[in-house]
Amino acid sequence: MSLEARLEPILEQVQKPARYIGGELNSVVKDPSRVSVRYALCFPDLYEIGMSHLGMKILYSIKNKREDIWCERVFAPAADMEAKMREHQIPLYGLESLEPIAGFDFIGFSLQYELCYTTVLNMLDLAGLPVRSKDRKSLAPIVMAGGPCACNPEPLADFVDLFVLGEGEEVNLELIDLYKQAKEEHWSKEEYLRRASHIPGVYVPSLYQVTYREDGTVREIVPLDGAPARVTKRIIQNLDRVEFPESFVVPFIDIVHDRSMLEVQRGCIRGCRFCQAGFIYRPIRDKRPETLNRDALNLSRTSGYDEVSLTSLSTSDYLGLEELLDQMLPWTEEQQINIALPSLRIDNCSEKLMAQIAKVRKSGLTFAPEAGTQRLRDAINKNLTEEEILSTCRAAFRSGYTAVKLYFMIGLPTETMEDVAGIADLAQKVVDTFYRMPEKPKGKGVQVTVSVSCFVPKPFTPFEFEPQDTPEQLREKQKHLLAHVRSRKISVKYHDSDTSVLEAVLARGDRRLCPVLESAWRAGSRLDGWGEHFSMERWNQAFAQHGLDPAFYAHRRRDYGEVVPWSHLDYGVSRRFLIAENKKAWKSAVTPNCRERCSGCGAAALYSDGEVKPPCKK
Amino acid sequence: MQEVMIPVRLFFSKTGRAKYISHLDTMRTFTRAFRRTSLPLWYTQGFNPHLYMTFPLPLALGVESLREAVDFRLVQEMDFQRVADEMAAVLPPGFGVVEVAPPVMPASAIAWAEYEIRLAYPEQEREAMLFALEGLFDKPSIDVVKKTKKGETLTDIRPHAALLDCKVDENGLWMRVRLAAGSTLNISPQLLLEAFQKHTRPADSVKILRTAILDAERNPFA
Ligand code: SF4
Repeated sequence: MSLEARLEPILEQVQKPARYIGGELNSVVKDPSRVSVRYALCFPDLYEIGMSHLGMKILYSIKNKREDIWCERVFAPAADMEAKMREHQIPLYGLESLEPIAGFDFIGFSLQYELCYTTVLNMLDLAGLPVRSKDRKSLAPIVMAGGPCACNPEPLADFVDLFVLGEGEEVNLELIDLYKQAKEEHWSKEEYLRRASHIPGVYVPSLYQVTYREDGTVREIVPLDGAPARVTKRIIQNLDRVEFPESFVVPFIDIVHDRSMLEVQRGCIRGCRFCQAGFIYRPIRDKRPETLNRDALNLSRTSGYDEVSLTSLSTSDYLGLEELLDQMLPWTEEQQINIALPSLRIDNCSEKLMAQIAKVRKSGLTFAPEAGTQRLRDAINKNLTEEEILSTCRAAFRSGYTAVKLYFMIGLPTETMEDVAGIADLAQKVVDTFYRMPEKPKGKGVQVTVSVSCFVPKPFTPFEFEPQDTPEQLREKQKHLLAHVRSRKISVKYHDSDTSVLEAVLARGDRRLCPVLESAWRAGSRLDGWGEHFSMERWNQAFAQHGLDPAFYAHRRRDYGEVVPWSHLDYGVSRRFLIAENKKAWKSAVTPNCRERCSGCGAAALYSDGEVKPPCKK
Repeated sequence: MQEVMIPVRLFFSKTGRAKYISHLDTMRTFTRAFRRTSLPLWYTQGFNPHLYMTFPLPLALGVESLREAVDFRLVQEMDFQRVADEMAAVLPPGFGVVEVAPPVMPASAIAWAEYEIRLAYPEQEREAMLFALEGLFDKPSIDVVKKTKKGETLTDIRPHAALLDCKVDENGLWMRVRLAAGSTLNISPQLLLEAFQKHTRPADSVKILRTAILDAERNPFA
């Protein structure tokens, strides 16, 4: 019986069956007998999350453009579907062919957040494959992974055959071409991985031996079998010319980001010290407005979406924004298409841009001051002043807004209780600003929502050396903040501190965590990012079982000289620069953004010889 | 200024994998499909204009259909064959255009719908199931608990259901039924199966296909 027929009775019994059946508009179906490589592009989270991810769409389109490759999408089943699949022995399958992915040539995971790691294991297991790399002996399937978490993939080192560091558009195809040669010449899996390790940006963890000191820190990372001593991430040299999808797979069910998406630029000029994305995606590169306008037209025409989102880490830093909006506004208005501008900093907008934004912006007003006092904002290099926040609020209130959402973090390095109380004070000032305005909207109150998350130190940031606050410290700070909120106009929302500890452990973890991960998964951990599935209890047992202490990874300060588990991986930004930035943080000294002045972070070296582009300097 | 407003009824099929798409998601699918065409569609007027589109009789999740209807409006005269071709080109797999025509009846004319239902049972149980099904329709009343917005009510669906044909086939039981349909009284095939399976074991699998939508005189909805 075909898998489709076996799925039928099951799909009648699960929530949102359309997640599991494919057949969406613009999904790519090929004749399996006419392709030579089958690729399972896996997102270790639910359909709604994975389908919202732009990177997935880009890789899907790039691979399927090649006639010899058929790339299919695979997402993690929700708990009800997983139970049914296991009960009826239905292996994990590709949404396009409805064929088991265990028979594919590649299984590639996108690692967007640490809490998805157990889901990676679970998906391999659901596919019917051994989770450990060394137990999968044949050449196919090659299990690979990429995405921001690949910058320290050590907790997954035993499970994944190879990692792609940096941007995947080119290197994915290079790996596939090498694989075709391997298949023709009947290489072993070891042979393939050995050769793959010489492709720039490819990291094969089994080709590195890690030894540890008595205190638990890494002593040495030794490359084996001729593997390179350092693996440097890949970047696309000319972003404007990189392939971008002409169409998106249009889902039937509602997903998180259900709209056309453009990537206006990669990288960020800001250098906020807590933000991993701000460092690992350096240097900043952008696309020309003409290119983006063309892509927007394509996507709107082929999808029927009534919204197009201009995404990047900080879209108001995109120099071509005015020009792009000039090109897009006429036809989007005519076709009743909304332009969404997430991650927009209003403080540095020109007047013309403000007017353009006013035309397209309908959503609420949000700000991310991240810290409550100027002192701490300087320490984290978030250059946004109180006056900028308040004057923008004033302007917004004047035009009719009555709700503001403010994002903060607690547990930031150098933070004191004064800084924590400062969060409440800043929120109060926003409330006061509203009531002090003679021209405030009549008969309405103001609503200020304060959303507080817990800081997680990440590799390749100036805070990679820092201990994370313990859950007790974080709870203490949460209490302190609440005690300082005096207005009923302010509501405070928290994020769970337990999951942030696990995030911190996995983010800076080493390979000794592999067995911990496996034990936690075997005990039932998966979809850890979803509150209802998460159990710290289960994780703590797994740590204890393998004699490891989560506090060693989460709450310990690292010396500047320590060999970190990701020492052999190179993301452009130099360790010297990170140390200098860390020292500046402790002096609450700010660093100018890349356009004001290049600070020589090291990322310029990622440009191929002689091609260094502004604002980077050699 | 819009001079004309032409009501159009598009009949479509929804089969195969498309049966897993809920009514809400089907509406979204059509909105986006319309936007991919160059058809001169009518938008509602006012502050927040949206595409005018209504479905005279929504189809439940898990049910296939040979002939569903969706109503919309054009602001320009245009050959209906072209409308059919443009829509056929943009609908996702599983959705097929059957016919495009001017609406003849109002949605309120809908009174009945016909279904083919296939229930899978092991070979040795099939005759007994057939007997049980015929027995169900021989009774003067078929009481089921119907969930409505106001709560649960006990309803006799016997006057609103007709068994048109039934037989044992190679998978189990095959039947053709006619059930009351429409906005005032709607008996879903799942409700009938619930009544049937109150006394028999659940089938190994269930396949339901809506074959026709009818008015009170049992003329096809047009
Ligand atoms: S090299 Fe200079 S301009 Fe380029 S990313 Fe680094 S600091 Fe910014």
